[in-house]
Amino acid sequence: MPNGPSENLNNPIFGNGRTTRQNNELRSTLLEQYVTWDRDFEKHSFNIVGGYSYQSFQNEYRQKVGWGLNTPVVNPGDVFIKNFDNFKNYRDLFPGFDKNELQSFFGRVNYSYDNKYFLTATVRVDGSSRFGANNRYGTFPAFAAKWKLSNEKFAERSIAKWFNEFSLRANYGIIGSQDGLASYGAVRLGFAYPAFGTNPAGNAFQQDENKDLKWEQAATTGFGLDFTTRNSRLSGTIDYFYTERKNLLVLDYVPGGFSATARLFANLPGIVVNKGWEFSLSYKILQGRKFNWEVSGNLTKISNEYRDLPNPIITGAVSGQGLTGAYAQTFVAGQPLFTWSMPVFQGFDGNGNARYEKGAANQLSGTALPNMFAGLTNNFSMGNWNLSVFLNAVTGFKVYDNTSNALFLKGSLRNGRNVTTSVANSNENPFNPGSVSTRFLHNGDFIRLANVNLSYTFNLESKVIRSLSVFASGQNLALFTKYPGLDPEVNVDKQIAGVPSRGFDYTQYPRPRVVTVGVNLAF
Amino acid sequence: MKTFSKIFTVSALCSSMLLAASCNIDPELGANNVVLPPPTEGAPAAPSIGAVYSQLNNLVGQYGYQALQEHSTDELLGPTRGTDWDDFGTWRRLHLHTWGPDHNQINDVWSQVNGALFQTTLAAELLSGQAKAEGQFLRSYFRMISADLFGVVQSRPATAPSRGIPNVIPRAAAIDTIIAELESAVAGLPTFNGTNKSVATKEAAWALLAKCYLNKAVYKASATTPAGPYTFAAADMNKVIQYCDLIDANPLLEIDANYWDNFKWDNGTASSENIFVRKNSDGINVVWATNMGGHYNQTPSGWNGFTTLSNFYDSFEDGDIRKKDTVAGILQYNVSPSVVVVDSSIYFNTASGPRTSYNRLTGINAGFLVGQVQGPQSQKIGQKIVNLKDRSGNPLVLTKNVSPFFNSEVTGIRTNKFPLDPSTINDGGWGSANDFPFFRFADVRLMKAEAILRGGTGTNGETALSIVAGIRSQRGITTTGTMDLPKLLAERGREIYLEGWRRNDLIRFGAFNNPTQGRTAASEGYKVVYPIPTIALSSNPNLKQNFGY
Repeated sequence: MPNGPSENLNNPIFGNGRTTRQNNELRSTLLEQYVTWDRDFEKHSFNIVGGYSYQSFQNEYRQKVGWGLNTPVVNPGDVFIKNFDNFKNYRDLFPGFDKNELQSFFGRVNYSYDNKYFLTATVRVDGSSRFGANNRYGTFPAFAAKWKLSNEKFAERSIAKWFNEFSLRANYGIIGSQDGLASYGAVRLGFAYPAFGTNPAGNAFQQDENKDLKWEQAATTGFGLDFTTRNSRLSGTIDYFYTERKNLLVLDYVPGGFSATARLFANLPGIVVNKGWEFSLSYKILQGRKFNWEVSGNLTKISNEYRDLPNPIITGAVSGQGLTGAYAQTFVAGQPLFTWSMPVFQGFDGNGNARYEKGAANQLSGTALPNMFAGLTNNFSMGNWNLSVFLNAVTGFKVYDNTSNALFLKGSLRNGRNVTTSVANSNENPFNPGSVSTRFLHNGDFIRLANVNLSYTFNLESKVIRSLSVFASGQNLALFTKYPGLDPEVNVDKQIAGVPSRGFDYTQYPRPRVVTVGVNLAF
Repeated sequence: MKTFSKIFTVSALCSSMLLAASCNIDPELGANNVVLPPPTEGAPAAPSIGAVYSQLNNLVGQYGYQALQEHSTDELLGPTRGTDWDDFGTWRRLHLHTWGPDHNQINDVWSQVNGALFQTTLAAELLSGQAKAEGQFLRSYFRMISADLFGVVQSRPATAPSRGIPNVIPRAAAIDTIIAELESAVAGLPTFNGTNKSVATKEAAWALLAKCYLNKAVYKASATTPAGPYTFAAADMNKVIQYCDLIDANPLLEIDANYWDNFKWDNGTASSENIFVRKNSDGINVVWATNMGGHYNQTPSGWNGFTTLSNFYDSFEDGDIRKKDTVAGILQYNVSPSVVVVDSSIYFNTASGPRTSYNRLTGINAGFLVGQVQGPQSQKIGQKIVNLKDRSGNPLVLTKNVSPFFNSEVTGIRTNKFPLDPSTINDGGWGSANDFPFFRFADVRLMKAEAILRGGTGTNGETALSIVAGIRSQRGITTTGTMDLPKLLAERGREIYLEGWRRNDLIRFGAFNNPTQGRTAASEGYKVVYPIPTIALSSNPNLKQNFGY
């Protein structure tokens, strides 16, 4: 006779009872030391910093489980457990331990001459215990320069006549990253297991090493221009940026898959290029005694491309019944990051079954990365009234409506689950499977009335109350989009094997519309 | 004050610089995590052999290895049911033979098999004594699987650096390597004693050797005509017979009088056929084998997925206990306290008292389920057995017809090959202790019969017909007439269905590409090997895509 189920640890409930006691001990250390040297010689100005910092993050975890209540629960009203010691059996589960350390040496020189030339140079050497033994340290330099043309003598009769300030900027820098890398992602790891049943204790081989694993790097080159006109009515900046990201840290497939784990952390070949322009302008359209109107806007145009990636990488797991293993996104050479890849939907046939292009083969179908961000703020003031209106817009990207893919199919209705009216009325066959396709992929372009604020300030001559104003403000008041889901500005994590995803809409709590009215009083 | 702060800063900096000089940021690990110390620079430490066996766990389950070996055949189909079980077409593509090198299960099985080849290589090359021989057996088994599925075997010495590029051996050469390694390892293995079923024994190695010799002609075929026709050498067939006879000589192994002793929850002790298994207590379970087909309203509540095909079902005669059996004579069990026993005639608590049947307790039989399905009321073992209803409230009557596309919840014949322990079913069956057999004595006997039909010389006075008749008589049916290869293939289907060999058998008998139910057209010959996953191809320059893909 086997033991009754009530004595089995693997039995979740059934008159058995179970308790777990967990201990999590998190410890982080930060030690930072630096020296500063500040000196001005006539028109030269120096500021020099040098220092060292050390950080560690440690997480220790212990767990004990108890099962088999001394007094079994019989009636629904019985109290399950008051005391951890009320169980017949106890077992310690495997403890966990995780620690990583960072140490950095850094230096910075700021130099300026005559309020015309500005130079900054920094260098830092960062070491992280997460990287391979051969490459724990990375060196990351950065330089920036600015030239205030408007302060030059020769500009007095030209540029300075029209501009309060007119400057040119240039910068170059490398930033290191260890994001996403596990504490032990580069070491050869084993696991010592205790004896169980008739099996003796032993060692298991868990993960092979990557001694050469090194910092991911992003090198950015940029140029810019800042200006303010003489009358200060128009000011703005223009920037161009070009970023090359390389040595991307990804759980990459080992050669032939011949290892204890098919994927190990590696620096991916290829370069991700991000480049674009940023414009920002502010203009005081009307400046009167009673009425003022100021407009400021910003616009970013960005393009992104993954170059020289040898093998496509998949990500973007699609959730839902009958969608095990489904994915919708890929990284592929010559395309932006987060490119959509799926069959192209052509509608339903006469029987209500879906038809797809090219025998339902996956096709590249745009990206989840926007190519334009814009914002526009209008500020009005008239007398004691003040009104500001902020609009923002994002375009050039697609969103996958996984919520509809998982829930709003004719077959869901047949299985007794509610769906939207349009699905209920569609000619889809209830036996048509909800395969991943462009049926659920939509343009995400939108304009949002993100913020409106109206206020009135009272003129007071009181000595008690210094100021008094009333206001009404609203956030997310209106959304203009053709996206059929709740909100296209959404990003639910759908990573596969640590490869990040982007642009998934899946049962996300909707963005709230907030209206606030209030009084500001100062004494 | 200013001077003071300067001095303070400088002294603090010096102290931190001192610290920095001594600060070592090598990774630091805690309990149970160990950085394996390399015995020589760059070489990994050997894992314990017990941990290496756990690679076999990947061969058990409805997804992956079993699916590649069964869904592509006439035994199993994964029908899409409304919105359910579409799963990106993964099941359908296997049955329709329309897979490609990006198929998720092909990718995953490749990774699992090569992960196992890595681990078993550590054991085969770094361990010593019996553990080394066990490692060699396990490596040979996974190499045979890799050759069978993918047509190639990757190989890399245990002492090669991490991320080293593996060599690639085509299966025509790999099969000789596998046979040579097994024949040298067998002396170091223990003899089968009835309790060491989960350990590599001489008998397990002989069974694998018989498989290798039997399939040698398939693996030796040209890579551009992998579907044959094959030429089976008489010498190879005599090797098959020799190894089958060596196994037969062990008196502990015989055809079990009760077929279901090999599969039901007490098969760890009851079976007299299972030669090499993965034990339930070693981290596998067989709930999937019941639930992959079981309807939602059955007990335990199933996933209402896979079915067998009616032609395969109809190939069984009535009275064949492999088709349908009540599994009588089992001890009665205690019921979970949460269940009120309504029908005490089926259920009481004496260990030594009367016996009941699996069917009496669960309402279903071992084998296949078709027509009206029964089960205990309220989905609780211990309750009265009633006719079940489907989710719409209609009688749950399973139909024979099924298609890869567009099915309702009642289409298709379901399978119940690994009956779950009734005493665990109210808790989902997860505690049921069924072992999963990789090599079984009935398979060995049928291999001998096949080798005789393919030109080997019968021994011990046995013929192919006498061997098959011997098995069939234990399964409740008689045998008349003569024996030939098509009949033997059908008998192998009936005897070892859902044990992971059907694809291998169909290929060897030249029948894998033939049209079958659910797939009306013959498939291309190159489909007898799966493609190398794209990601593996691009990461190992020694790999070349298989012919046709």
